Amino acid sequence: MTLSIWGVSVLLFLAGLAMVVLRRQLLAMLLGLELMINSVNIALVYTGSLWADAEALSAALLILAIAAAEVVVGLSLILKLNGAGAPVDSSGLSELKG
Amino acid sequence: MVELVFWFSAILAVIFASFMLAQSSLFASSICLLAVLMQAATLFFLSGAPMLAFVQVLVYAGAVMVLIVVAVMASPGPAPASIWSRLSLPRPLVWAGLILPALEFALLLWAGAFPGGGSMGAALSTQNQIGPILFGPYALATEAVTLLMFLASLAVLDS
Amino acid sequence: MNLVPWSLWLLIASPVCAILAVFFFVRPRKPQWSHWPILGSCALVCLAATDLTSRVYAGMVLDVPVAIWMLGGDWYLPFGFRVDGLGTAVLLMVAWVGALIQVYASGYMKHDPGFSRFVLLFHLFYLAMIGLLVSNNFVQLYLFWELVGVCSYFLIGFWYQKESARRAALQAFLANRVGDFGLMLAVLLLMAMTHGNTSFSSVFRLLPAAPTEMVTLAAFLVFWAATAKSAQFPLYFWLPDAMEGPTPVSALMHAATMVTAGIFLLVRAWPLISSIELLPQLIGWVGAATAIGAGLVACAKTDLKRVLAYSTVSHLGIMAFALGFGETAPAVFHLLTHGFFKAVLFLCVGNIAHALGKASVGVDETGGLAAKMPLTFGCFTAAALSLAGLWPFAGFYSKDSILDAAFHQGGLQAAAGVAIAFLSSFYIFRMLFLSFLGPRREQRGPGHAHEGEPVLGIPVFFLSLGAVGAGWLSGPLSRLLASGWMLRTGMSPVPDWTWNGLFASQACALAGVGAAYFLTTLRPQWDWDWRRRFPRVERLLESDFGWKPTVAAFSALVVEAAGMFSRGWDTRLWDGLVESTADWAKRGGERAASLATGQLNDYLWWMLAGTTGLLYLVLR
Repeated sequence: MTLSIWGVSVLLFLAGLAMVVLRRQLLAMLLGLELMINSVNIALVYTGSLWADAEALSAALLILAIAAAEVVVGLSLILKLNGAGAPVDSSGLSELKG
Repeated sequence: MVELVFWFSAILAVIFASFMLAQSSLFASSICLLAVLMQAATLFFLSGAPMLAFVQVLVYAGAVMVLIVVAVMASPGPAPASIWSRLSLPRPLVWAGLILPALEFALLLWAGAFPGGGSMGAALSTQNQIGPILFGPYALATEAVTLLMFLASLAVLDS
Repeated sequence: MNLVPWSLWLLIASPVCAILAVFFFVRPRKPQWSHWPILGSCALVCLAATDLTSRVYAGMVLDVPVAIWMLGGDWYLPFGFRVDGLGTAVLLMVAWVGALIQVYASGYMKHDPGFSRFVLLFHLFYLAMIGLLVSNNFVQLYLFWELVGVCSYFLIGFWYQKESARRAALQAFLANRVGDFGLMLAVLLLMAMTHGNTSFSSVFRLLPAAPTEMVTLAAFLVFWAATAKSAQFPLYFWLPDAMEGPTPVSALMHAATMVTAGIFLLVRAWPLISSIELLPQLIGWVGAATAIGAGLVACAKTDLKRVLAYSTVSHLGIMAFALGFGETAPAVFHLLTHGFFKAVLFLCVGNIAHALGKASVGVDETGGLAAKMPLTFGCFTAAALSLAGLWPFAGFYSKDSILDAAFHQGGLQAAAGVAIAFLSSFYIFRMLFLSFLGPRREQRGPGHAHEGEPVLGIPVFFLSLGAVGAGWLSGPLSRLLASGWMLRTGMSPVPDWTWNGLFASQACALAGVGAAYFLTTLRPQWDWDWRRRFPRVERLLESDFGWKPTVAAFSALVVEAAGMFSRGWDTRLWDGLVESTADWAKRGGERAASLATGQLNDYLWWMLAGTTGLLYLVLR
């Protein structure tokens, strides 16, 4: 059971990783990021309640809150980047080229 | 019975995650993400932390997803030619970069010594101690997160 | 130190002081007086040489280390003098012949603009040769050997404005260099076997204990070096062209002294050479081939100095021929007598050239000089009789001992001896009859030739006395040579002549004289006719039986190969290396820069890859 929970967690983590690395749109990357955080949360909550560790559960709660805040900040950045016209995607952020 | 629910939601989560990866429309991706997060809530519930499940639903379905959908609507414009980025590395290398960690995790899971598996539906007593812990030993952390959320709301102000 | 006689110090010191004095004091102010200190030094050297010889004759043998050049661990290179029978015998000849030729040269070269330079270089050569003769170890001998070669280069190319002289000098130097390389390797081998101390007194004792391959190789290399310096078959070709130098140079260096250094080395190193199985026989064969070949070529030459040059090659071959039988003392004896009569011959040719107002003369320009230049004629005849080996002149005694050994061996060696005796007499008398008798139809005749100043005539006269009488000293010479130097045991050093040998050698020599008389005087046009009738024979002889073109082709090949190799190496490797480093840096930089794409996803991928790697390291 633990193995399956952790297996699910790992799969979701990898999916989120793939989202971040492979997708072009910044918003898609943000979604992937969210997925990664939540996958960790799943594993944390399960193991915490398995080992009757209340601190683990509180940590999971805090992580939830932080993830939400991070989405807010990320979204505001993306909205800032998007100018009047087409939305900026990751191929446009190439100032570090060369 | 509980096992069944667990397996159902687990499989659903993985399926929706892969949908999310491949969707070209951002709307659809966000909805798929929402579905995954709801499955996560289910898993929390089954793990014996129902409060966390509710908080998960509240925060994500209620606030975060709304925000994301609003943001998606606020950034119109033609869909890009391809949803996938143009990586300058050759394809096989990119795949390798993703498959290798998967293998490593798999190796970890296989070879790791995990404690004997419990089952779903544990006692609630652990969850009930969240409160004292949050405001006891983790009081500082709690205050910091609160401040963080406040500052995040400030970030939205400018735009 | 107190047992080193004053004459040995004088022997070395006076040339050194003279050269320094002339170079620093006389030459800048009054170059035309350069010869006075030099001639004074010559006199002192002769005095010293005579004194040393008399001491050695009385039984003294001296081998003193004077200083140590280099020292390292158990290696050391000594510097010292060796005064023994062999050394002083040759030293006496070199000192006197050299002094007389320097007197001649001061008259011959008086009007040359480079007179001071000539006198200095000539004396430097004199010093180098003396140093070579009194060296007591191989390394020191090598030093003076090289110095002699350097002086040869300078003196052959003395008239450096002439391209043929420059080329001849370079050819001489390079041919000798090839030989000297062999000597250097041999000396290095000997040093390796003896920890640096290659003194003649000690090195030969250590040879049986050394590895045979090294000893054999060293011996062959010593012979190779002698081949170059003493003009034996493979490496003799520089000597005829070296006649581009002024006549005193040809007389001293390329007749009497420098070219005999090779034979001297062989005799000094005889314990080494004779310890190798067939090496003496090889030396003998090479010597015989050289003697006969050069003799044949000399019969056909028209330039007087070239005839004498090939004659020198031939006589060096005779000396090597003698060494082939192990007869070291006769070889040395012939070296001494050859020094005298060859010097006379060269100086007479110099007188003829001086009288006719040219640098070198061919047979076509002479003819009938006997009446106009009687002294020269007389000395030339005396020397020619000596060269031909006719009794009672000096050449007879030395040549006869060699021919005796040849006839004693019988077979091919005897035939070679007969051929040598006949040929040497033939070519020299041909030259004598063609130049002094006549004039024939094709020759220009003597013109206004007359005897030169006394300074040109007196040295020739004294040298011819030596050419006539040196042979009568064979008894004392034997005693001298036996002092301090190993010879073949059980035999008297210079064997007495036998009746058989006398008849055979005299018959051959007289046959040569007769043939020469017949072909030059009774048939006066012969010398020009046969060239028209047998042009292929003439071509064959002109090219030294094909050896000259072979050498030219070979050296062209070597130079071309070396040029191609070094040019390819230089342009492709070094230039390529230098020029391509900039290119590599640029390309490397470009490749590295291509990683920085500016694409966010690329950077994310790299972060992922890095984390994977770290995770792997942690998990391991």
